[in-house]
Amino acid sequence: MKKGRIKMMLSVFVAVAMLLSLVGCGGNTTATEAPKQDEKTVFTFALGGDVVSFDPAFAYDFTSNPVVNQVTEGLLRYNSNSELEPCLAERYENPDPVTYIYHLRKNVTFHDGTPMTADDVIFSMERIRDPQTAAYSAFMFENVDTIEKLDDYTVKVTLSKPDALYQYTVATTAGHVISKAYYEANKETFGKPDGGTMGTGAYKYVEWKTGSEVILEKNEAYWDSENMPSFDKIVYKVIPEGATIVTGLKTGQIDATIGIPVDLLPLVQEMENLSVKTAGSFSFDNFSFNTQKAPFDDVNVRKAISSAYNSQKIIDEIVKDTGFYSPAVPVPPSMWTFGRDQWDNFIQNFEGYGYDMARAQEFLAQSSVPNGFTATLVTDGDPIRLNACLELKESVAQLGINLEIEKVSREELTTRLMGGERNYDMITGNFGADFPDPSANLVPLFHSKFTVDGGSNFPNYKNPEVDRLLDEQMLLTDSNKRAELMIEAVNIIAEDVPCIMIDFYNNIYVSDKNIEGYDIAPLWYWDGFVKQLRAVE
Amino acid sequence: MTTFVIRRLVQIILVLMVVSVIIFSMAHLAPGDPALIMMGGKQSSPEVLENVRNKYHLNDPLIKQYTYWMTGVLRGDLGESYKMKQSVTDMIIGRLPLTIQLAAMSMFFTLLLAVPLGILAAVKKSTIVDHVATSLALVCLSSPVFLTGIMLILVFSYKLQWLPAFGIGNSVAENFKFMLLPSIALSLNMIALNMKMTRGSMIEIMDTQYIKTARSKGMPQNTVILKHGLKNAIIPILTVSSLQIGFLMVGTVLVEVTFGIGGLGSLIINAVKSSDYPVVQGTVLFMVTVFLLINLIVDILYAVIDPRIKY
Repeated sequence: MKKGRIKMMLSVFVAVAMLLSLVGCGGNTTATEAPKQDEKTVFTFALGGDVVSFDPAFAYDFTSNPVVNQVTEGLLRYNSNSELEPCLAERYENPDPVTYIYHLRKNVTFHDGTPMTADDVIFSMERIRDPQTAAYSAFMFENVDTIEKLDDYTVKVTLSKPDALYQYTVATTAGHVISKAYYEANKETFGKPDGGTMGTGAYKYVEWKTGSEVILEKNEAYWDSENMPSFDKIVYKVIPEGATIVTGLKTGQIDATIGIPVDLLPLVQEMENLSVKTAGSFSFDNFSFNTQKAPFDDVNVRKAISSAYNSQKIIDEIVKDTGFYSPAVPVPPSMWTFGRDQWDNFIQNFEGYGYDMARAQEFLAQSSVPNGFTATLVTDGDPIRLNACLELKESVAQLGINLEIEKVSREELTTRLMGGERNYDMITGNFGADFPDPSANLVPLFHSKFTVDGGSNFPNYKNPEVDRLLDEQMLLTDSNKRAELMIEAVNIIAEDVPCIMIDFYNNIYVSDKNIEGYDIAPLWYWDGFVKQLRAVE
Repeated sequence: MTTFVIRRLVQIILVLMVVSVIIFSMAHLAPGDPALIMMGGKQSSPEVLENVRNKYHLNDPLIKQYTYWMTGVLRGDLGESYKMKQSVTDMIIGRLPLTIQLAAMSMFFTLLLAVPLGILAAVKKSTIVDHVATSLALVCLSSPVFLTGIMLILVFSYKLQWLPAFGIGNSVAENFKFMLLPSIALSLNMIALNMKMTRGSMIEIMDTQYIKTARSKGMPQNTVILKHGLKNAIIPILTVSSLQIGFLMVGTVLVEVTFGIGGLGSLIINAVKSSDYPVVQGTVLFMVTVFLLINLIVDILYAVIDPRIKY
């Protein structure tokens, strides 16, 4: 009997606990049900990481940009073909290679109702290019000499020398226009949760609960009447765990995301309520040789190793749908937004140093180290790069080359890649151009001036002829002539084999089937795409 | 008692000083150049890097950098995040309520279930009830938090669609339903451990002479168990629970990442991933302080529960 009472007490305990959880569940069913389609006013987007900042100076990554781009805008923007089109500037002139004159729209107001004028534009651009700000995108203004106000709605930018890439800057976060008055009144909190930001975009800043969510609200007074947003509200959920994102996509708690993890992609592709869209990108993984260091200063050694790497195997077994291959140089065909014919013509006749073990042996026999050698290959734990390293190690072992893999943290890899010391034999790395122009990859990777601290010339490649060709094309505005010079440079680079390509990434946009209006682009991270989205039946 | 508390507080300060040196050196001796990492693998120039290094005193000797940091810490200023450019103190304060709620709910579930189940298993020692309870405890104890978290999401959010899989609500009350799954995931290990602890402790106590005497006096069974048994068995349970605060902190890191909750755990993991040293240093120092203070409170509780313990 007495034992029974204790048992009863315990059962009560357990029952209370169960009840509590049931109450929790009961209260929830309504809240977690997906809203009905006909009253869909909120668009929910999953971010794999938190926003870094709403300040355009520091918004320069794949989780900040899809948020910030809805709130602040640049003078120009990209259309779906990655071509520049007017945005806050209704038109612009380029009377000579060093002068750009922007005519601003007169009907644009910030979210607080104040008009946007030349003062705001100049202030925003000067702030990003000021080295004191240490903006991540400051390098884009490298060749800008002065930014002047011609009148309240006209801005003139003068370059210190012609720069074919400058034109793209004002379509990136580096050119986003913020309200000068708002910044000056909120210097300390600007870009942070308390201060937010003040832009002209289709959505305005409401709230940022760091690490959890961001809320934006429709800007009823948006200047671009042809692109009025449809959704009243955007909710961004920060969810680092891929499996949780997939659950949200299935249950309708999440409408869309960009960048689903490699291993979860097949699962998402099978879900009937989702559509998966893919666009190539200008970002890639590769191996770089330290071309200034023996024995990699010998082109035959580089040719031998390049010929021993089975690129197709890594694409088929590891990369699969998440990427694609393009040979020899880090420029995919889609990057040739001009001169595409010249490029196709070149690549068709291009032989290169692809997988061929017999040739690899010949090259090594002709080199300074015909009997092989020992060297290190630095990589981080990224599955694609690491697997590519293992494949290469195994393959070159047949040539008598002992390639030791040095696995370091992502941070250390970044430091080795971007530091001026260049203390490695071979290294894996990734990089991606921010502009739809082949020189945006060729120049930072192969021009000798970028071997310094903060530069991205991973192969430590110094070829005066390549420097000359790359410099010369940068000074021109004639795109055919530019393409010609760049292809000439590519030809030299490809023969010098400073690097071996692993893969280019695919951008993958997953969304609810009933939401349409955006096809992802290579440069999606400059797009303010939510305003284009519509819920359909 | 007062002298004990004062002595312990002085000890805590000394420990914190040593810990601060360790945290600082670990962060700064890790390979990698903070200025380059801050630029996130993007192009920059020697000038920009030099500005960054000057702004964050990265060119100064380590001793000097440590002094800058400590002077700030003593004034309550934990520095500025390299990555987010926000005040570390504000970031911690902003995220603390979520983590406290998560930890409190887990602790609640733990004590609600572990102690009664432990007593039941002890009283029913070597019966089917005991075997089931101990086997379940073993399963729970050996399942890592990220696994149970994903399993719970799969069952309750993906299949049954009863509970949200991620995120937080707009108020403490609304957070309750969002945090139900995470706090259960977080408490499973602790329930198991506490249950086993309660069971072991109770079995030992129930075998002592004074319990036998109490029984032979004809005292009701539940008085014997709760008043004489549990009260004496509670000290080891309390010790384990307080040590579990440390486990709870590690657990919140994993649970917050799995369930997309922006508490201290996700703050620290992001900071570690992006080598945001000021945030790593600040949050770790903060967590160590909390841990030490909780242990102090538990020590004081001992004396309250057991009059034989005097300081």
